[in-house]
Amino acid sequence: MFFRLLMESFRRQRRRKTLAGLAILLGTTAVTAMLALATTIGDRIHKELAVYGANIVVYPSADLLDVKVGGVDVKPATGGAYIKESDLPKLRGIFWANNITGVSPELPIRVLGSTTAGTAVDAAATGLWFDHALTKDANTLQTGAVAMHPWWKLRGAWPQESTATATAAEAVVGSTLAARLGLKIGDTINTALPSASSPAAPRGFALHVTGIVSTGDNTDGQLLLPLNAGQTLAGLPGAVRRVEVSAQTKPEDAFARKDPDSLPPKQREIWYCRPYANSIAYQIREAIPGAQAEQIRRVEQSEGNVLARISGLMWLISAAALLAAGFAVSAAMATAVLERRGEIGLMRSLGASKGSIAMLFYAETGLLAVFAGGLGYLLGSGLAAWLGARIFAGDGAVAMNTVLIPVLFPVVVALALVVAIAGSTPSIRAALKMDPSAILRADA
Amino acid sequence: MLRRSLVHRRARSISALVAMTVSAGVATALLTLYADLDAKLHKEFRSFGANVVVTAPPSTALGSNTSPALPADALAKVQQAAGADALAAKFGYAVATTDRGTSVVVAGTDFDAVKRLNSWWQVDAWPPATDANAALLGQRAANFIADEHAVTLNFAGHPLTLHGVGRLRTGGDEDSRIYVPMAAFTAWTGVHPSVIEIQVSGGAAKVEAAITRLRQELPGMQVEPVRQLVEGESRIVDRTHALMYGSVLLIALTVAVSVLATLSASVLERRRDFALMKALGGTQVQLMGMFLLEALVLALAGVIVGFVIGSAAAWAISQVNFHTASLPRLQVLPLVLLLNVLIAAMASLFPVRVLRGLQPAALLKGE
Amino acid sequence: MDNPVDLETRPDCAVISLNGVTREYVGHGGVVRALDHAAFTIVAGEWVAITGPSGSGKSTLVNLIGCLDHPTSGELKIDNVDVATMSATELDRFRSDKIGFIFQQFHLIPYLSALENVMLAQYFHSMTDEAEARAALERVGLGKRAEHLPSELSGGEQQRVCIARALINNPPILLADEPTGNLDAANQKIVAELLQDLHSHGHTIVMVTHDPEMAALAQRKIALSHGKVFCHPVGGSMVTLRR
Repeated sequence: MFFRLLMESFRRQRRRKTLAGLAILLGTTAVTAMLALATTIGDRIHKELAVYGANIVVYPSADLLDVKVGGVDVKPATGGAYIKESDLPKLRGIFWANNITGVSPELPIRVLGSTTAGTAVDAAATGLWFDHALTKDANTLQTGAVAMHPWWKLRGAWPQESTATATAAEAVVGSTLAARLGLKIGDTINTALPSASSPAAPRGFALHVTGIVSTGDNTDGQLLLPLNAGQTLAGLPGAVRRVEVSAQTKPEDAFARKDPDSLPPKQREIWYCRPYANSIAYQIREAIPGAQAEQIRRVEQSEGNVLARISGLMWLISAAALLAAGFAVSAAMATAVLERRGEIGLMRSLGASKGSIAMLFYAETGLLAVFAGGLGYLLGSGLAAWLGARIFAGDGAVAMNTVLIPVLFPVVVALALVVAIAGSTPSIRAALKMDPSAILRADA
Repeated sequence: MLRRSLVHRRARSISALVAMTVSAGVATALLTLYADLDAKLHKEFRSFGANVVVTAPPSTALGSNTSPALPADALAKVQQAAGADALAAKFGYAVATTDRGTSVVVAGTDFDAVKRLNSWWQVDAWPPATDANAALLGQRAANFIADEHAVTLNFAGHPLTLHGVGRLRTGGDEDSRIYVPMAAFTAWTGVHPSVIEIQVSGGAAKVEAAITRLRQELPGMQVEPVRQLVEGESRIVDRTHALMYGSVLLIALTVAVSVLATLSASVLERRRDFALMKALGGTQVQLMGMFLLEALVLALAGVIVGFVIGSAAAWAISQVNFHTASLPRLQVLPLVLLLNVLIAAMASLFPVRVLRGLQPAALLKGE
Repeated sequence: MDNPVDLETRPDCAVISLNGVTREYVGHGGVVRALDHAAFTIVAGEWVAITGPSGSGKSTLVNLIGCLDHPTSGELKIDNVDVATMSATELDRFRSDKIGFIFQQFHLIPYLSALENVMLAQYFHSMTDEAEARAALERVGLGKRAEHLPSELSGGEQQRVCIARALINNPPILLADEPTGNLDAANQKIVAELLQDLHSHGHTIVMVTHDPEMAALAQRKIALSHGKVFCHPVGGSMVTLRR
C-alpha cells in the first residue's frame, strides 16, 4: 500500500509535483553548472594565461652571465655551457610531467652572410622548435616556440624542421630585420658553415625565407630557424642554450617558498607532490643533468595571482548559487507540503501515526529529489560545457568524457536530497503538530 | 484592509517576504560584483608589471656599450601623459666589468619606482633611499662577485665600489644584472636613462589611448605596448566577464522561478477569498489590483531589505577574494527593483488568470 | 414537564460517557467556551442525534468524542477508558479501532481512487485487504465505481465512499458530522438508509445534524445551545436538565 500511495501520488498529482520538481531541477542545474565551471576554470585560465609565455626557465647551471640589454645580447658569450637536446624528453619522466603544457628550447647564434641581392647580413638568430614532438610516444606533447608565443603574428609559414638538411633550411625573419634588409618571403640568405671537418665537406648554408614575423619586441630584429639548423650553423650538434617551459602550477604560498632540502621528509614529500612552480623547477633540475631551473617570476607570480582571483571568484559564486538553489528548493518543498495539509489531517483522523505520514512525505520528497536532481546534473553539466566552450572558444574541442564530472553526481544529488528534506521538514512538522480537527475544520 | 490581509496570513506573508528578500539580495550581490568585476580584474593584472615601454630609437650600430638616451624631461612628460594612476620607472644600462674580469650589465634606476612597478621582483632587502652606493645584485650576477659587500666594478676605466644590500631574484634577465641608484649610475658612467617602463592601468582601450598621448608628448621616441600583456589581459578579462555574466543569469533564473513558484502558490491558496469577493460583486480588475498591490508591497519591502543584505554579501565576497571592498552601488537598485516587481506582478497575475476560470460558487461550496 | 430526569440510563453498558467536559479556546476576543460542562452517556447500539443552532458547539462535541481534540477539563470515557490517560500514539490506535468518521466535507485523498481511499483506512489500521474494500464499496452501492477518482464522483457518491471507509475496520462507534448537509434529496435518502442499516447491525451512531428529518431517525436527541447540553428522548416531551 505504501508504494501504491507513492506511485499514485506521482502519477496523478503531476501538476503539483511539477512546481517542486522544477525548483529542484533548476537548483541542481545551477549548482552543477557552477561547480563544473569552478573546477575546470583552473585549466582554462592556465591556457589563457599561456599568452604570457613560459613560467619556468631552464638553463645550464654552469652558464656564464648573460649580458643582455633589452633582450639583445650586447656582448654575446662565446663558449659557455649547454644543455643536451636529447635530455629534454626526460621532462616526461618527472612527477608533474602531466602539468607541463609547453616546452621551447632555444639556441642563440649569429648569422653572417648575404642575401641573393647582395645585401650584407649580420644578424642575431635563434634556433627553435616550431612544432616538435617532445618524445617518441604516440600521445606525446606537440610543442614549440609557436605554441609558447601566441602573440607572434606571422605572414607566411613557419619553417619546417623536416626540410632542414646539412646545407639548407627554412627560416622566418623578424619584421624589423626584414624591413632593414629588404627581405621578402621566398628570398634566400646565404651563409657559411663553421670550419669544415674535411675539405670535401660542404661550406655554404642557405636559409630560405618562408615568413615574416612580428613579435612586438626585440625578436623582430632576429632570424628564427629550426633548432637543428641552428645547431648545424653553430657547429654545436644537439646543443640547447635555454629552455622555456610552460607548466600548470598551483599559486605560490608560504609553504611553496620553503627550501625542500631543509624540510623534514614528510613535509618534503608534501612539498614535492604539490605542483608549485618551485617544485616543478626542482624536479626539472633533478631530471636534466647540468641544468638549473627557475620560475620566471614575472609570469608565474602574476599568473598565480590572476588564477587565484578568478577561481576564487568562481567558487564564491558557486557558493552563492548553492545558497540560492538551497533556498529555492526549500521554499518549493515547504509550499508543496503546505498545500497538502488537508491530506495530512485526514490521514491522522484515519489513525495514521505521525511517523508513517512523515515517512510517506519524505519518500515522495526523496524520489523527487533523486530524479529531478539527476536530471539537473545532466543539464548542468551540459550547460557548463556549452558555456565553457562558448566563452573560451578556440581552445580546442571538448571531449565527451570531460563534459560529465562523475564525482559531482552523488554530491549534487545528495545535496538536493538534503535540501529538499530539510525544506519540507518544517511544513511536515507543523502540519503534524496541528490537531487534525483544526485542519479538517479549517477546510470545511 | 491590505494590512489586515497581510497580517492575517502571517506565515504566508512572511514566506513571500522572505522569497522577495532573497531574490532581491541575490540579484543585488551578483549585479554589484558584476559591475565591479572589470576594475578588480584589471587591478590584478597590475602585478604583471610594465605594459608600455618607451625607448629612444635604436641606433643601427651593434655592439655599442650603451643605448641612446631619452630626453631629460621624458619621465615628467610620461607621468603627465600616462595618467595619475600609471606607474613609471626609468632605467639606464651600461656594461661594466667585475674585478674578476667578467662583463656584467649594470642598470641605474629609481628603486622606489621600481618597487611599485615590479611587484614580482623577489628582493632580500631594498636599498634605502639615503644610501647612494647601495646595489641590488641579481642572483646569477652575485655568483660572479667575490665580495658582495664591496662590489668593485669598472666602466671605461672608471672604478666604482658599491656594497650589495640584497639579492634580486626574478628568473629573467634581471638576475644577471646589478642595479644601482640612478644618480650614482649617471655620475659614474655618464650614461643617461634610455628606457622608461610604464604600467598603464585599464583595458586595451585605455592603454591604446595612453600610448597615443605618449606618442604626442614624445615625438620621435619609440612607444610600444608589451603586446602579450595587453592582448592577454583583454582576453582574460573579457572571458571572465562573460563567464560571470552567464553565471549571474543562471542563478537569477533559478531564484526567480522559485520565488515565482512560492508566490503563485500563495495566491492559489487564497482562491476562496477570491471567490468570495467575486461573489460579493468584485470585478476581475479590482481583484487583480488587490492581489497586485499586496505583491508589490511585499516586493518593495523585499527589495529594501534584500538590497542591504545583498550589498553586504557583495562587499564580503569582494573583500575575501580580491582583498578590496566592493562598495554598494545605488545604480543597481533600479534594476533589482524592476526584477522584483516583475516577479511579483507575474506571480500575482498569472494565478489570478487561472482562477478567473473557476466558478465562485464551486469554490465557496468547498470543492 | 419540570421533572428532572436522571441522565444515566443503563450506566454499566455506557460506551461513551462525558462528565463535566469543558472545551475552551483562547482567541483574540478572549476565552471562548465552545462546550460547557457537558455530561451525558451514550449506550452501546444507540443512535443519538446532536442538534442545535450553529455555534452551539456541536462540531466541538463530535471532535471530542472522536478523540480528535482534548477537553480543557472534565472526564471523557470511551468504552470505559479515560481518553486523557492515553498517549498520542495510543490514542491514534484507539481511534482507528473504535471510531469511524463521516464528515460533512467529503475528505478524500484526491489522487487515490475510491477503492484506494477505502484501503487507506485499512492500511493505517492493520492490513490492506482489497476484497474487503470492494465489498464495503458494494455495500454502499458503489461497487461499479471503485476505480474512479473523487473528482469523477458526485457529491453523494463521495459521501458514500466516506461511509464505506468509515466502516471498513468495523468500528463500534460511528461519528457523523452533518452527513447529509451537502447532499440533495435523493442522496440524502440513500445515506439515511445506509445509516439505518448500520444501526440495525448494532453500531453506535452519534450524528450531528440540523436536518429535522435526519434527526427524527435517531433514538435520542441531545440538544446543544451556547455550549450547554440538554437531553431528551425521541418521541417524548422535552425535558430540561437540572442546572
